[in-house]
Amino acid sequence: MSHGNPIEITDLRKDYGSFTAVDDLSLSVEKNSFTGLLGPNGAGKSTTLKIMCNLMRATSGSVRLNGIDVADDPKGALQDVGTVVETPEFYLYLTPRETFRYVGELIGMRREAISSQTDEILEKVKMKEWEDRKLGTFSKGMRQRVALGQALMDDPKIIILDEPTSGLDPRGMAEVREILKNLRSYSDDLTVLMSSHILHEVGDLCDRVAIMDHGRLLVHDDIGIVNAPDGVRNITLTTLEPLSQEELDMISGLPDVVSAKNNGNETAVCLRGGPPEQNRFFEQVVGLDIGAYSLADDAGDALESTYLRLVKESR
Amino acid sequence: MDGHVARRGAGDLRQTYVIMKNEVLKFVRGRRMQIYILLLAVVLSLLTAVPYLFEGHGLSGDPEKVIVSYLSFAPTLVLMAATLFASVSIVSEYEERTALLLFTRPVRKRSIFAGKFLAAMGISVLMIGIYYAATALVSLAASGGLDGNMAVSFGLSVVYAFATSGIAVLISSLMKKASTSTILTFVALLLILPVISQVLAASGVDTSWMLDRASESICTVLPGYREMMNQLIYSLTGMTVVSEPDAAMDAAVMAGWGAATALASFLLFRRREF
Repeated sequence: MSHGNPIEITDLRKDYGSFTAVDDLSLSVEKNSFTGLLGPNGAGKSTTLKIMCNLMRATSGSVRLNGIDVADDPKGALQDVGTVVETPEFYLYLTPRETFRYVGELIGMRREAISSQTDEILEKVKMKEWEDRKLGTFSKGMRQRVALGQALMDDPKIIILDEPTSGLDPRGMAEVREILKNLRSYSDDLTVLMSSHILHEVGDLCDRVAIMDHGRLLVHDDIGIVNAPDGVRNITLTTLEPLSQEELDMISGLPDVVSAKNNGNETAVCLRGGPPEQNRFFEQVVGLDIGAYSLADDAGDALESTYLRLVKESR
Repeated sequence: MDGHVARRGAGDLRQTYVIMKNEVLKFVRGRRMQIYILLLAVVLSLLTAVPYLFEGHGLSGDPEKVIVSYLSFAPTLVLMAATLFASVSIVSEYEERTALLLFTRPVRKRSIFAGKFLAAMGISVLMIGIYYAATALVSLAASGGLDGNMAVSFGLSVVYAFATSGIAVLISSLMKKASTSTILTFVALLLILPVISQVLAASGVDTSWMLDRASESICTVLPGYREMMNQLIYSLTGMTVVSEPDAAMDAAVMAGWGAATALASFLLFRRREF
């Protein structure tokens, strides 16, 4: 484990009588990473995040946020942290603007900073139009956008998200995901830890992934490595016309290509290496003039197979 | 964004104030305050109108009698204030899941508790203050005078508001539903504590340390109230039993109840998980 990372979980344990929800979990989340925390129901994800956010006490072990132990000094540890745990409810008598002001005042922001940042965040979470409407009249998706907005107040260095799209309709999910995708463009010093059930969401948003089951950590690594533990990733190349055998041989002969099989207009390519190799492959394919118009990394599917395999092996 | 640069850090007292302000806003914009104001208006209207409508002669010209007729309801109004405001302070954060927003912020639980307790008690005292002020105005208008013991009675009502808020917050710290907490607070203050006092008294135990007994001094501190009650009791039993209370002792008993229950509820709240 590397030390000095913004989130350091060490030997964390949470028992409910004879049931162990979190079982000596150790996890170190790298600075500036967007880490997805995956696991089936009852894996201990929410319990872990609740301990991190001071909503629960651990039976043993520790969580340090920005170097400060949450159990010893929750106020200090949470000082630079924004959270969205489950789907929080709000004070329904407040408007989004009043909610952001309340959070800003709580964390000690100056009045003028609250005012200017509230305007920025309302734009980011696309709530400007409803800034002065009471939250009691909002849909779940709108409330979740407000939840993300309040987590952004005062530019936190860590954001903890517990299933941020859970329970939302497809449109609500897409809106929240778009905000999450833009998170890192708001700051160059931001570490995000997000639990989710939705593998494609994690594949789409995260660069690191941690998979848990039975309260234990099964794997924690770059999403590319988790997807392709043997260094081989699956890519789908789509062309205007099905590739001829000669064109398929040309693809197979490119550097780092392990195999290529076509199925109609789509060609499944197994490629060794990471993003740099994938970039080189992309440039070479364009140069081959074979009518290629789409190149998709099958990260979601690969993550799903890896996830299912790891969870099955852990049982 | 410039928020980070402008951060000044929030002290515990400042955060207590921010939470208290939000709680007051919750009451101001919520139904419970409307219900309470309606209750005050109904009580004041009935006490003022009934003597004119049914007794013909209107309000008494004796300030003592006017004030007694209004302030004999003061303990019940304090009890109702605790029931409506303090009984939901803690439990609503869990039931309505707003704890997920508030408790995950860098705020100490003691600041959250203090802010909520002070807001509930502050609103109760404000409402009771309005009732006493209205009583004083009616007395001045009807009889041209005031009873000097009103101020002592008001002081005792404030201490009683502290005690009842403590009990309400204690129940609120234990319950999962706000409605259960409200009902239980009402029943505890109106029924359970008096029943315990009565049973203890019947067994020969001194009950001067019981909250309901101590709260009687809110009314018995008024000479007009003692006279009225003694006349009533004498006509029934041939005895006079209501004597001048030891207001300082009763205030201390009520303050003790408030401090003990507030401390117990804070300890429960601090340990409570989401």
